[in-house]
Formats: sequence, structure tokens, C-alpha cells
Amino acid sequence: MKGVVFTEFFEMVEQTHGYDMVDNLIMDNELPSGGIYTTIGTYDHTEMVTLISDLSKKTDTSVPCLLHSFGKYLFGTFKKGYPMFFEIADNAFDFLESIEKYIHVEVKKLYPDAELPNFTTKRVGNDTLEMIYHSDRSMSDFALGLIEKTFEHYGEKATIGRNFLIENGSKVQFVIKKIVV
Amino acid sequence: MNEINVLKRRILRERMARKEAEAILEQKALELYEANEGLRQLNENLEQKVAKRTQELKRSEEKYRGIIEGMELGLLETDLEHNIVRAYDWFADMTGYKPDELEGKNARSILTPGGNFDDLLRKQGEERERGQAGVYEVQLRKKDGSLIWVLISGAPIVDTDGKTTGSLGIHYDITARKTLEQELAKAKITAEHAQKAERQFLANMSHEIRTPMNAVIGMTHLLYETSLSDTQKEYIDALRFSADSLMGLINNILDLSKIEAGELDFEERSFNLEQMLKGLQRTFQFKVKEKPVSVDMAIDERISNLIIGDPTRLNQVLTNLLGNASKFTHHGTIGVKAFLKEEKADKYWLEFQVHDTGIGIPEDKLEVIFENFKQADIKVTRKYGGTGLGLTIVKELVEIQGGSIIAESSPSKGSIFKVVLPFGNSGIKAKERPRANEKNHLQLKEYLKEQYILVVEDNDMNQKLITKILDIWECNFDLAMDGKEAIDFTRTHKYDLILMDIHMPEMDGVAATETIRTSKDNLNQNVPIIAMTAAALLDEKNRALAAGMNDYLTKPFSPDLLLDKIGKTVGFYPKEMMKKPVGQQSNNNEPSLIISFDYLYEFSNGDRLFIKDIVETFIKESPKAFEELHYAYKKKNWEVVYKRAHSLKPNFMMLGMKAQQEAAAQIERLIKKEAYQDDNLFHLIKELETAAQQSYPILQQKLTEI
Repeated sequence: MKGVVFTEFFEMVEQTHGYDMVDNLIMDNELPSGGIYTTIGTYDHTEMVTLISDLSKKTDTSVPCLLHSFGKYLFGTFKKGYPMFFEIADNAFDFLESIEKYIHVEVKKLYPDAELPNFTTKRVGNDTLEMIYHSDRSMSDFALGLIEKTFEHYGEKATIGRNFLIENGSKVQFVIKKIVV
Repeated sequence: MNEINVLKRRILRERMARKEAEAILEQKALELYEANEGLRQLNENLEQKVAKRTQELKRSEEKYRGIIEGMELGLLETDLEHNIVRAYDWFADMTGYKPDELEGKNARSILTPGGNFDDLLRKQGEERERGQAGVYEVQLRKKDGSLIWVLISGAPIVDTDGKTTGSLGIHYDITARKTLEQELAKAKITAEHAQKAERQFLANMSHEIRTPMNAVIGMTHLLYETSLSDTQKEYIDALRFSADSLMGLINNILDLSKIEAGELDFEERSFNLEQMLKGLQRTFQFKVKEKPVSVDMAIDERISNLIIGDPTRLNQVLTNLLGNASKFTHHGTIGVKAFLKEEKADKYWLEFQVHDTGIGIPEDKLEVIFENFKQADIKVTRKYGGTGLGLTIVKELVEIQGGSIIAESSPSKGSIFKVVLPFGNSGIKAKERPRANEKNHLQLKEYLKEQYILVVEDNDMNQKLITKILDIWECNFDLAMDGKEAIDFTRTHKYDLILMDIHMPEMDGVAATETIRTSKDNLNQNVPIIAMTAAALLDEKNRALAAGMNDYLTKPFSPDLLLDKIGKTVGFYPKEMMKKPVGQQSNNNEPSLIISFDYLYEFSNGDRLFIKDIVETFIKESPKAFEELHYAYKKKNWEVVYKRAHSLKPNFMMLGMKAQQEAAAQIERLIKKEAYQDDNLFHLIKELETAAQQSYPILQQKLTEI
């Protein structure tokens, strides 16, 4: 998993709970990296699982809830760091469709070792988009946060339904209906 | 305290993260550097490869250019306006310039001035612009003004965009070849002239020699008619033998020239082989009567039918071989044996063995004897004479007919010449036919006593000959010295027959005949005229016929031959005696149409192509003539009526259509008399037309038979 995810995660924890919480998470868990992350490095994704599980325990917040918040948080980071990706689309649906077709293709070029989830999209009628999330990480909550923030970014509103196509959450269908004001 | 520890740990972590990041960055920088290096390396390799390829390309181009230059091929590059972009060394050498004297100049104005090749060069230039290559020959002017011929292979020069920018010409000097070609053409014309001259010479010679020979042979015949002592008879025999030999030699030379010119034709008619062999036997018995030599003849009894072939040529072959046999045999036997070698379908393959018990031929000379002017031994020539042409002609005659000849011999024992020839099988039994009717001759001579004949002849020897013959036959005749005198005679006397020489001073026989035939007031306008000509030339015979003569006789001729001709011409012989009459009895109401190729056969010596040509021309041309004749009659254009009838007349004569020939002559006479209103005129024209129309299918049919 890319280092930026870890550094941003610690950033979010520090903002919410102070650096003590970050220190605790590092001190209380056996992390192969010793909790030392740089944005350009690559680390074992299990460290993230360990960190989130421990944060869940320590803050009495569910893992899905944490992932959802983290997704929302990370959207801001992406927006700041990679504004060009947001310029190619002028609405949420187009942007969501461009993730698999364009953004991930470019990311792979920059980081050949990046492990990315797979998104397939399908338009149903004028205002509905079916999007299937597929990843062994089972982090659809994280994805949900990002999607919600997308609509916010484009100033649009939508209802997002979620169906687990595989029970462990490795394959999830989002049914996104745009609300026309 | 705890807060300080957390802070310390945080600082430591961030320092370590920075170090890690730096390490990663350093690592990345290294990777970048290496990637850069690799890229540079690749670039360098690529450049080297490009340079190497370019070098190779250049070298290969140079190599081919070198090869072309080494092959003495001159290269010249021009732009589309024919301006010389580059002249290669060999091209410069070829034209006598230095390359820089040519470069920048216009190729057409410097190399091909004068405009002789403008069309060709413009066309080639257009082809280059279309991107097409081409090969052509032109003459170039060198710097020193002399001309050379070059073969140019021109190809377009195409730039990288595929646009044609000019052309590259490969020039090959073909001056030597051209010169040779021209010389060959000149030599060919010279050779053809020479050949023509030779043939003309032979024809002239034959004419020049035959005229005096005519007198010699004729006089000899006349001498036989006088009372002679035995000695005199013997001398005359010798005289005649020599004259015959000389004629034979002339004929040999003429034959050989015909063979060499590929002009020899062969007849196809049925004849009796046994009769021919018996005739030969008699002839040679006579020839060898002074020597203790007997002449044998044997014929395979399986050859029971008339055979089809050329009897004259077979006779010539056998006479020649027997002539040699009799010449070289002093005692013993000579002879011919005819065998049926093979019978296939309707073909007889016959082998003739001409054998003798003569001096023989050495084995090493057996091949040589068939060559032109070669005899087995120079001593033979001295002792026995001869020209060395006989066997050459025999061999040619045999081989042209698809046969073969070989000679076997043992010196001082004798020789055998074996000739194998194909003949057709007529399927008709050969029976001895009665010989020329003696009785008829007697009757004809009686008949001639009552006839009045005009002889036109300028040569006094020939005059003597012919007048003697007529004296013997007790004929009444007048003698005219030339054509002019002949016409004077015909104005005042009515003759039954005219014997007319062709070549005469003042007025020749052809002109005289034309005058007689076209003078309406001439008493003898329709008298039979027989031409006497020394030239055995077809052209002469045609002219005689076209002028309106009825028949011709080639000098020298025997009294019997003259008698036969006269008999035929004056219609003395009964119809069934006429040769090959062909008639078509369409029905009982219409008169029969008589057509005969006899004239054509005789005039052309049986030249089938000639006959075919004449007949086809008649079929093709005469309908038009009739149309014009008809139209002219309707328009009362009597001059044209006369002309058409006049031009049709010789056609009918040649085709043996005597009735029509006469009808045409009558039309001419009526016009001459200005008897335009005569009913007969229309009937005659109608009659001619009908007969001609009837003749076409018959002529077509006959053409397939010849």
C-alpha cells in the first residue's frame, strides 16, 4: 500500500485525536515499518488493517465508520495533490467513470507497484450509474466516502445504494442515483 | 514527561522517515540516471547503426554505379526539363566531354541537336514524369561533332515524397552494332540485286542460247527430211545428239537456279510408269547402239496401277542417271529396275535402281558426286565431259519430293544409284495407251495443203526452218519480216492462220496482234494466231495471250509439235482429243459452258499458285467489270463498253472459255463498226454475263482440284 495512505491516515488521526493517539497506535502495535512512513514509500497493507482495528478499539468507533471517514478525508488530499484528474470531467458520473479508464491507468504509470481496486461502471438510464467495487482489501466503505465527496465536489446530489455481491465485501455494487434539483 | 517522550519519538520517526524518503529519492535518482544512461546508449547505438546503414547503402550504390561504369555504361541524371544534373565519367568519355562541361547544360540541346529525335525524347520524357521506365535508341552528337548511336534505359528519379524529379539514363554505345546492321542491310540488298541479276542473266542466257539452238535443232530436223547417205545420217545423229546435250545443259542450269530460288513446282498427275520406262529403254538403246551395251528395264508387277506424280521430273531424274550410266559404261549392261518398296494407304513408295557395269566410283567419292560442279575425278571430266550439275539436280529433285538417293559402287565393276520416291496410287489399271495418232497427222497435213498461212519472223535462220517445214507440208504461205509488214499483208489477204514471232524490230508480235485484233476493217481480225517465242518466260506467254493470240509455241520446236499446235488451234482435232475439257451441262436448253485450265497449265508450266491467282482474280474482279460494262451500255458510253469487253477477253481466253472470248471480241468489233443499234450487242453482253456467273462455281470447284 502506498505510503501516502499511511501518512494521510496519521494526519487524520492527529487532527481528530492528537499526536498522542498516533504515538499510541505505533507503540501498541507490532509494525514491521516501526510506524515510519514516507509518502513515496510502499508498505504492507496489513499494517493499515492493524492500525485501523486498533483505532476502532481505542476510540470505540466501528472499522467501517473509520474507513468511511478516512475516504472522505483522503478525497481532500487527492483534490489538493492531483487537481488535473478533476479537470477532465465536469460532473460526478463522468468522473467516476474516468477512475478506472484514466486515473488508475496514470497511477499505474507513476507507481508500477501500486495495488489498486477495480471499478466497473454502467449507466442505467439518464441518472443512474451502477458501479462495482472489486478488491481483496474489502474497503468499500472507504470507496463510499470518496464517492460521496465526489458529488459534493461537483455540487451534485445523489442517493447511493450498496449491495454486497460477495459476503466478505470484496465485491460490492453501488447503485448511484443522481437527484435532479 | 510523557509528552516529551512522545515528541522525541515523533521527531525520531520524522527524521527516520526523511532518511527513508531520501534513500528512496536517491534510489530513484540512481534509477533515473541509469535509465538516462541506457537511453543515451540506445541513442548512440541507433546513431551508429544509422551511420553504418547509410555507409553500406552508399557503398552499394557506389558499387552498382561502379559496375555500370565498369560495364561501359554511361550514366546521366537529368531533371524534368532535361537539364543535366550529373554526368558520370563513362558518359562523359562516351560523348567526349568532361562531366562539368555537361552538368547544368540542357541534354537535348547539347547532345541531340537537330530535332531528329524530338518526338521520341518528348514521349520518353512524358513517360518518366508518369514514373515509367523505358528503353530506346537515339543518336548523340559528341563534342567533336561526330555521331554515336546509344541504347538508353531511362528510369525516373523519385524523391522521398514519391514525386518524380528527373530521370536517370543508362547509355550503351551501340554504334558498332548499328553500323553492322546498316552494312548487313546494304549487303542484303546487294545480294538480292546480285541474285536478281543472276536470275535475269540466266533467263537472258536461256533466251540467247535457245534462239540459235532453235535453228540448229530445226535444221537438223529438216536435214532428216532430205535424202541422206548413211554417213550423213550418222553425222546428223551426232549433231542432234550434241544439240540435245546442249539444250539439256541449259535446262539443267535453269533448273538449278529455280531449285536454288525455291521456285520449282511439281505436277500431280497420273501416268503409266511402265510406258515411261519403255520409252527410256528405247532412247538409251539408241544412245548406246555403238557400244556393246544392252539396256535392261524391269518393273515390279505389283505396280499395276497408274501412279500419280510428276512424270517430267521422274523422267529427268532417270534420264540423268541413265545418261551417266551409259556414259561411263563401255560394255555390259545398264538399266533401271523399279520396285514397290512399300505400299501405305494410297501411297506407293517406289525404289528405282539405276545400275550399270561401268567404270564405277571410288568409295571416298560417293558423297562428293552429289555436290555442285563436282565430279569424282578431274580426269573424268577431261575424258567424259559433263558439267557436274546432273547429280546435284537429281538429288535436289528427289529430296524436294520427299525422297532419297544413295549411290553404291565398286570401281571397274559398276554402280547402282537407288532412288526412293513417293507416288500416289490412282487406283486405275495401267494399260498401254495408243501413241499419238499417226493417221491424224496425215489427215492434218492434207488439210493444211488447202490453208493459207502467214509467217511473221525476222530471224532468217528461223525463217528458213519454218518455211522449209511448210514447204514439206506443201502449204501456201506468205512471209512477213516484221509486225508492220504482217499488218500490210493482213490488209490485203485473208489468211487461215498466222504464225507470229514475238521479238521483232519495227513492230513486235504483240503489237501486231493487237492491231489485227482491233482493226474492224481487217480481213483477218479473227484469224487464229500462234505465237512463236524463244523465251520460256511466263511473262512473254501472258503478253502474247493478252494481246489476243490463240496459242504459243516455244522455240525450238519439232515439226510434229508445230503440227499438233496448228491442229489444236484451228480446231482440226475432234473434241475428245482435246486435253482436259471441262464442261457443265446445266440443262438441255442452255449451251454448255466450256472451261479449261490447259492454257494456264501450259503457260505457267503447271504453276498451281499462278493458276489459282489468275482464277481468283477473275472471280473477284470480273463482276465489277460486268457491272461497268452493263452501266456503260445503258449510258451509251461506247468507249467504256469497248474497253471492258477488251479487258475481259484475255480473261476468257486464259480460262479456255472460247465462246465467251469470241463473244467479247464480237462486242469489240461491233463497237468499232459503230453498230451500236445492233441487237446482237445487247445479247452478247447478256450472254457474257450469264456465262461468267455460271463459271464462278465451276472455277471454284476446279480450284480445289488443282
